[in-house]
Amino acid sequence: MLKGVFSIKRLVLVIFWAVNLVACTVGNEKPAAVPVAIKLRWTHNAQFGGLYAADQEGYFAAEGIDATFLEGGPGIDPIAAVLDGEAQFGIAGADVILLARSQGKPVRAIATIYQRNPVVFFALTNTGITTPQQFAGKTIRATLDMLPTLRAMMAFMAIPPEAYQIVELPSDIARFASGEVPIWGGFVTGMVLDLQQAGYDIQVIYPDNYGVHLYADTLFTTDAFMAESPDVVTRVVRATRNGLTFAVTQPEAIGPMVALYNDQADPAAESLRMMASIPLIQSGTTRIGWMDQAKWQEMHDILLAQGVLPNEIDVSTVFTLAFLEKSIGDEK
Amino acid sequence: MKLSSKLAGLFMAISILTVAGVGVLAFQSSRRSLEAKVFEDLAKTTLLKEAELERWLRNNEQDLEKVAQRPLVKQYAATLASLQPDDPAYQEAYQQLDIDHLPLLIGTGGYLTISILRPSDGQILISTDKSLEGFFRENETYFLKGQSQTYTQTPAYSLVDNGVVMHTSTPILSKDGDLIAVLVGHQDLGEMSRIMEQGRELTATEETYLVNQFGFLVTNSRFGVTSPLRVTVNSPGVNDCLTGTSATTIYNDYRDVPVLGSYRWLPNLALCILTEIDQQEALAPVVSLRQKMLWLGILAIVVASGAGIFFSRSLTKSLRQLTVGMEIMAAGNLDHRVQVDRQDELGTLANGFNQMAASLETIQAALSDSERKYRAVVEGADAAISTIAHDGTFLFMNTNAARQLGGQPDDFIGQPMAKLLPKPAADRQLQSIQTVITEGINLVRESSTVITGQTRWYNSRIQPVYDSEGHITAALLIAYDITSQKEAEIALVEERGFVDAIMDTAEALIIGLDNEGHIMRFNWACEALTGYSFGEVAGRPFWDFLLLEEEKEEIKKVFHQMQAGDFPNTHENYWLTKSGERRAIAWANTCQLDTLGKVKYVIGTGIDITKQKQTEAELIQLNQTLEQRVADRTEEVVQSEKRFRAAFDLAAIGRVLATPEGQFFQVNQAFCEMTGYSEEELCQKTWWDITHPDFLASGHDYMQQLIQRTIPSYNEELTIAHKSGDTIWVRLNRILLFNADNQPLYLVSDIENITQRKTAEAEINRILAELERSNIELQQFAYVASHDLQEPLRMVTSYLQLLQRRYSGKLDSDADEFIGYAVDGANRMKQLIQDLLSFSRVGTRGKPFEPVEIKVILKEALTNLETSIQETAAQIDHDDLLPTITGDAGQLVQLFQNLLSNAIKFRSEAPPKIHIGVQKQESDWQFSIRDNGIGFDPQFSDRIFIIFQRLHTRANYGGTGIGLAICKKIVERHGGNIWVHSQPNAGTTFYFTIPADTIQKAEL
Repeated sequence: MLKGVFSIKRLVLVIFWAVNLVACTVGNEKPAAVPVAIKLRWTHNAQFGGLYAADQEGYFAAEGIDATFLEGGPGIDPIAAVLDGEAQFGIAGADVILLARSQGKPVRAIATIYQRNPVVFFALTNTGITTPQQFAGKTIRATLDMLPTLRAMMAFMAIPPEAYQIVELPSDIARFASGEVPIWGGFVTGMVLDLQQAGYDIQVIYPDNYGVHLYADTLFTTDAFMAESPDVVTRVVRATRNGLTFAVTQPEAIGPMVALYNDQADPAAESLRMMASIPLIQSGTTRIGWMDQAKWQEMHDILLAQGVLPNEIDVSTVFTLAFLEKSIGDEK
Repeated sequence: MKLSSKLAGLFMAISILTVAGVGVLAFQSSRRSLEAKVFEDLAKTTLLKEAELERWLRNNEQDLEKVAQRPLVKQYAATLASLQPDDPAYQEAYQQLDIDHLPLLIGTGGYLTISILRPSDGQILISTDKSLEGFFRENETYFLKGQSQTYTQTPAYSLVDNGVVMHTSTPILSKDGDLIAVLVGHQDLGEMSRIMEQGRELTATEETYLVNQFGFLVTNSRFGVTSPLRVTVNSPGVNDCLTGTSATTIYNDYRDVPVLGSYRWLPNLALCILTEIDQQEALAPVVSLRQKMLWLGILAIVVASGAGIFFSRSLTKSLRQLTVGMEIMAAGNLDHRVQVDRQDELGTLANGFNQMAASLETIQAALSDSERKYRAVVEGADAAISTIAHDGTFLFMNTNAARQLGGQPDDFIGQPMAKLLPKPAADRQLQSIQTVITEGINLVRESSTVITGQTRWYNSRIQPVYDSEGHITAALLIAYDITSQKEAEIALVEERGFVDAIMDTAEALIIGLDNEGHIMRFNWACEALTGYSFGEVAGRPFWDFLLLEEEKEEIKKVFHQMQAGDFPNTHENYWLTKSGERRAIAWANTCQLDTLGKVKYVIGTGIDITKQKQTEAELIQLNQTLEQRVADRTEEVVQSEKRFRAAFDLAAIGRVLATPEGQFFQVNQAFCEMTGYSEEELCQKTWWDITHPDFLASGHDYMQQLIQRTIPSYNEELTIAHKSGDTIWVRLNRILLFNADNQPLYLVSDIENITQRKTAEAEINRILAELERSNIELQQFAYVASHDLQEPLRMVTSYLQLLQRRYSGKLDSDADEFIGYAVDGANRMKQLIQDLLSFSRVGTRGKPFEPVEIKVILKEALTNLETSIQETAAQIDHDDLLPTITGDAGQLVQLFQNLLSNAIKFRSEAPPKIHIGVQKQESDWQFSIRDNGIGFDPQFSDRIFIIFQRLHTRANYGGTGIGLAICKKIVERHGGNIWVHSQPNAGTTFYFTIPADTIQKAEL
């Protein structure tokens, strides 16, 4: 009797172990994670906080994506990197994607990172400069990528280009403080933040207040990759949106994440940078990552009017909502 | 086994089964009723908060609309939208809005900021927050929608404010409905949070909050989240609600804590409202009951085991009592107590059951407590709140509702609506209730009902009430009594109607002013007198435009004296009408006081006495006018004389007054300098003394026409004599003035010295004649030279050819070579002379123009070129249409021949392909000759038409360089132009035009 009981017990154990093994094997049949490379437009910093969050919080892993971030920097063209096959995805300015498309390069935006343009203009408060009208007759510091914004704002205020002077200078706090150039262009998440941290009393002029509403960083891929692997694109978009949602909800967690990719980064400063980016990413009037045809058209018209775009193009070829729609639809 | 053991075991088993059965039943039923009660409370709280939120938003919208409808706000906004900031009127309007109007809406829990936006570009013209002025909001939804209707935007994140904002906007429209500006208010979201938080302190975990369509928290959370729109909240309740569903159910909230929740989707605001309470708190009373039951059960088993044997002996009677008692309790009578007549274990057991009954009573008390809290919320509300069944029976009613019906809630609960309200109202209400219950929708409306003999006005809202399974069980009616507000509105309208009727039928002028002089009333008599409509003057200070400048201060003084109590009074003054007319008016004024005894309105009643005043004034004026006119005329004559004298003396040209017979009597300095005479000398002479005899006849003739008045004046260029005897050319402008009797009075003449111009004209004419002569001579020379040179040249050539034939090979080799050069040179000279001759003949030996067919011309040219065409295998074609034009046929053949031979000569490696094109222009025929030859650099396009100009060396291409010069001359003789387009190695196209004005017919 005792022997019988023992045997049945063993049998049950063996069956249980076998079933378990099969179950585990079936579970492990899930395909290995798809390796994906994303080319950044700049060196590692909180600007890409949403991607780091997607990686560190496991959103990429949950989608079966093994993501690698390839650092960008001065003179590095993310469009070329993606077209050459170095990466499948990239982060680039919306204007850069428009320009690339007008040159016949088969790339397309699939989600926005910054729904608002971080470019602003600022002056020391004691100069009394508070509006773009006061730019007339003055010198303005602006780098090449800020020019479309500046020109569009001044055109909106009916101030002709010959009425002001532009100089291209490195971002240098001491030089700004010297007052030699009264008005500076910069990123609200960059120099503006640095100046405020350093205790300077500055007046910030937002182009959003003067008729200029532009996208900035966008996630893009090639037409060919979209056609070949639509499912991978949807999964990357969904993980990126989840990462961005995490970043705007818990910006203080982003600084330490940046330090994992860039050992020179100051975690506290990067977290502050992330906090300053929240209104750029999350408008409250539309979903994170979403894009709007009218806004793309506006950017196109501005760049065309300033001669940045050589010819008119159909903006519906520049971006697609297909993957955003699919990733949001799947969430529900 | 002993009977006692069996009995003890059996009894224990029965006890356990009984305790467990009663316990489970009681626990389940308590839990169900408690859950149902909590769900109902949560649903009602959600509905109340929703109603409160909507009321708050609607109040805010109405506040904004009221400001937008103010006449002064419209007027000032129009000023800001149309003028520049440096305009004094703009500054005045800005001040008024900034001080008197916009701040009214701030700080009442409604708005944080109020702004006015220009409709054309969305610029913020004025704002209570000065830092926003000058910004543009041209693409904001609230700006775009606010141009046509009042609109509240769902909360959004603002980059510039770095926070959450919610805007309400409404259009400011003119009297005609045109858009003047958009009024925008930035709502106080703190107030929204406060509405959600009201009553939260009554519980430990209950909270109501709002979530936007993207899952972001909009109001503060009870559990630490105080940064709206920064955090997404994710729970089954939120997700279900965002699909547009409303329900009450149990789920884990965003903290992953189990809650009982009620949620509703608010489509107008695109927001979800949720009310949740932790399951632990909500069901705390039944949990406590379960604990107690467990302990009691264990105790009962222990006691039952110990007392088994004793029970086996003496249990019959006590056991029956116990069983009966338990049955009564199980039936629900919790007041029943088991009779305790023993001190033994059975007694303890009986005590245990009694304690259990007490615990059940505690639960009922908790239920009542919850009921009380809910009643406190419902009874505390301003509204009349009731719950009504599908058949119209009142299930519940708060005191406020009962008071409206004239009694206490108990008087009406359970009563059908038809019994309490008049039939039409009851039927209407019942139909609404049934619609809400059947279709699950919300109804909101404003209506009146006669209750207890009085008409009462209500703003009511009817919503479905759901049970825990989502079925609609009844309807919730929330009604606000707005009777007093309505009655006041009606009374006001009636009173205004009465006053308006008086004012609009009175013949007298009636004007009403506020205590600052702004026009508040302006009857039809005022409108008829002034020409202004009430709409144009409403709200404007009357002294700004109705009073004469000189009377303003006096009238203002009277106005201020009235403020100080000096009324009624009378006075007279003038009004200025819209057309600028003055009207005298006799006024009787009085004031209307407010409740504090201060002047509220000034009312003036006036009669137009302009005519009476005019008659008086006219008599006085007449006398004065006559005297003044005499003085004025005298002064005018003196001034006119002075002006004339100055104009006369200082004129740069000569100016002369003479008698009609021509006797000078006044001359100016310029004329004296022109003629060399002094004024005295000239006054001794007549016009005819100094006029050159050649112009005397024409001068007299003109004078005759002036005197007969067939011409008013005339101009003439003539010569007059200088004192020195020289002749001066002058241009004369002469006019004859007549007196009142039509008798000639003065001859006025303006004289301009044009001697220099005349001399220059003569010189130009002389040079032109010289040039023409020289040209003719040159052509003659070219013709004669080339013609006469031919004869000796022929002789030279003939003898050279003779030399060559006869002595070739007989002299040395140098001699042969030299003779060859000489023959070649003579041949070229012959060609040059012939070409030069043709060139000169174009101008001198051309034939008269006659109609010529280009088809014939071209055929002849091609025949002439036949040899070279064959040699080079040239393909020549032309357009189908070749017109007939007017020209010199011979020259036209030469023109085509030259151009075609050029095209053949400057061919490339390939055989020449030449196309002759014809195109009709506006007034010309344009011909083109296009080839596929070697072409040339376009910079030489002009040079090739110059005589003897060549682009290539003679060794490569023969010719004299005259052909194209001849072409140019032929085309120009025909009144056309010639030009060329060419590129090296890309062929050449010559174009020329021939005027088509004498064209006869185009042929195919």
